[in-house]
Amino acid sequence: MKSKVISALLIFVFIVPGGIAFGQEPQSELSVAQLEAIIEKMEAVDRDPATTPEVRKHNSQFLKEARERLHKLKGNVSSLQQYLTNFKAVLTPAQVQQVEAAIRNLQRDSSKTSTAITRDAESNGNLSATVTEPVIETNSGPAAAAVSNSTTADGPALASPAVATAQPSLPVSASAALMRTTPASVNVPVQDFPDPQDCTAYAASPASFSLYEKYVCDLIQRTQSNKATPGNKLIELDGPQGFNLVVILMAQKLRSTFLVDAEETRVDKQVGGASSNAGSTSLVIKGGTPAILGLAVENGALEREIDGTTLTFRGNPVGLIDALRNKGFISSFEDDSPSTRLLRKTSFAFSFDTSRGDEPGVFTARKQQLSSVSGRIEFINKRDPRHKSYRTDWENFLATNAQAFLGALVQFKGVLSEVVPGTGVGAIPAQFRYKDQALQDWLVRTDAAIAGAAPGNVETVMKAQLAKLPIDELSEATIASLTNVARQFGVFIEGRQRILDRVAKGTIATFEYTNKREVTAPDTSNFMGIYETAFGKNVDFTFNGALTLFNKLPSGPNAKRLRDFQFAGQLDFPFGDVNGAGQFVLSASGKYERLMQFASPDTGAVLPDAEGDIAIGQVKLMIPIKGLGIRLPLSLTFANRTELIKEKEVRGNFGLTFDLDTLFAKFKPF
Amino acid sequence: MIKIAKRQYHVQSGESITVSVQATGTVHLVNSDLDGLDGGPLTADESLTFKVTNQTRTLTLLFTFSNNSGGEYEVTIKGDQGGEDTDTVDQGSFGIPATSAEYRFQL
Repeated sequence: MKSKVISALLIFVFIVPGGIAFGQEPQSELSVAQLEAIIEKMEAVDRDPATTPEVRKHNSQFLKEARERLHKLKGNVSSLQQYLTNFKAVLTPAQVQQVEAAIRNLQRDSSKTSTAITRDAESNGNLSATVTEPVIETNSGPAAAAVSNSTTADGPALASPAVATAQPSLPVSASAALMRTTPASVNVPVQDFPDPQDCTAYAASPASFSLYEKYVCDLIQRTQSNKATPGNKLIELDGPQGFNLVVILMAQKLRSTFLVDAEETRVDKQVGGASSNAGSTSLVIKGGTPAILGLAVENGALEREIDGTTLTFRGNPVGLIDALRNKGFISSFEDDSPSTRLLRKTSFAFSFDTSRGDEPGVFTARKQQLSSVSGRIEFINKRDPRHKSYRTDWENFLATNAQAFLGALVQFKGVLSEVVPGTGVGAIPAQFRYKDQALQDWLVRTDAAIAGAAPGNVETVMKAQLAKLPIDELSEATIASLTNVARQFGVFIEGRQRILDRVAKGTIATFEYTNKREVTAPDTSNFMGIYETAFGKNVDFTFNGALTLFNKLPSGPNAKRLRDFQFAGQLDFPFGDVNGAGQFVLSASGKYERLMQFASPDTGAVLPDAEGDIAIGQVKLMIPIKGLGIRLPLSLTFANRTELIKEKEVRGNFGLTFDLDTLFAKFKPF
Repeated sequence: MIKIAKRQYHVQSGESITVSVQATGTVHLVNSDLDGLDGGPLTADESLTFKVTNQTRTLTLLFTFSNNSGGEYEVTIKGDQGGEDTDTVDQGSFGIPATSAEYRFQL
């Protein structure tokens, strides 16, 4: 029912302005100019951001059929015209007339097919109507329309200047006619290939993007870049854009799952503060760090009895400096010098306890609220694909998967496209074009549409054009070669991913120093080793070993510099649909702490005789809020005692964490 | 060698062309194909050299990115009769795993 309404709406939009009613008998033909006018109007509907997806879908189908008709019409007419041009001198007048008549007849036939077919409303869910004849209505009124429909004695006139310059109301019932151009098209379901996501959403949720969507967005980005650079061709078939289009063709035509499904996410980033901070939901510290700045605001309490709010800023110096230099998130990774690489292995963190200071509960960022400062360096990171451990894997990948794919790609491009040679002498560059005429026509139209689009509208226009890729008009040879290159690309992607999966399970070993600033009790220094690895399909294991020293020897009998030592372990199990709600992470962790002497709560008091063993277990569920870079951690903690009270405790915590990498990139993606 | 368009060069008959690639922010993962007949991986510490004699030669390079962002390749092309060009192929902002480019050398 809905589609009927939409179709009726389209017909209304196209027909009413022309003043044409259903039920009339066809009387004249659609000319090339008329068809082009139809297409132009439909393209305008397609480009209009206000067009609803339902209308766009139907309009795209009609548009495709219109183009098919136009293409056929032009091809047939032009071949006969070319024949006439080449042989007119040697043909007799009767033969010339015969060819001219054939041209006119072809045009008539082409139009007739458009008016003859009635779609079965029940089986196709669309309208059922008798198709009427298009009338071009100009500003001059019916007289001009009459001109546009004029025929010669031998048949309809080819597009006349009057027709070409007319501003036709959309050809009318032609739009309905176009839906039923051929019986074959009637039975073809409306293209249901999913529309690619908004490219600006990538930064916030990269894992939800399929390979297809990544290549669509890459094509758009490169096209935008070319459009902004005078002298550049908008779409270069011999460069990355040509590669993008190959992948897009593969995805649209073959719909392989490896191209249209999204990938997995990583789970090794530590955004929240350390477990010793008030209100932390993290029992175990993880090895990775956000590249620019992670801001974690966590509420609740874990090891201490005092509820509070801790804000932790954790960052990477290189990323932060780049950000301050107003570099884009992505380009900030371009500097790869050895010193920069070393700096990338380091990170820092500042934690502020907002329960402290003159205005408790308000984050002032004053010194009184600064509860800890920490620095971290990774000394082993086998989660970097450049690590020497993977060299042999990459070499094998290049020699087999990658080279086979390149061979298939080169072969496919030989089938798909051709080169109009240039000459070096005249410095005339070669031109690249698609061999399939429908594809080449699409390229020309796309180039024109992009050229005419406002810079901010390139994404919309390109996506609209990609929805019109003539994938059903590819030649058999093209499809066979496309299938082959897609198979090789699948092997290539799988081979690359196999190595990256190994990388993702690599070991990270990190050392972290934290200076914890107490209100009145002695400040402490914590030295922690962090070891992270993975096993099984996707299980991440993290181990922490740490000891804490008082910065100054406390006063009192039997006072020692060693405050405590502790060990902790955590297992992370990611699960869930990254394409849907996002990926959840279920964590189970345990911690043992030996408190050597007194405890020192934030009130500044010193509690003697607090020494003893503390065992803590925790189950945590990290709930993603897709697209916002925000995660909601929920945890349940069991402890035999706390540092301050020697009694069992069960506590639930919740929090909110932000990954500013995501937010930063959302606002400045390039 | 004279650049006549992006990735297109006019060369002298018999001129020898040398192509080398440097990677930044990615493992160096480059494959080459020359005229659909010859090719193989092109490592960081080696360059590819070939002659252009009596017909146009087309070099296709496949660039694979090991990371999800920030990869970039700089292709340096030199002719032994003089002339040099560099072409940068980056990963863009959307984590594509690979891309390719064709370089044409015509007489």
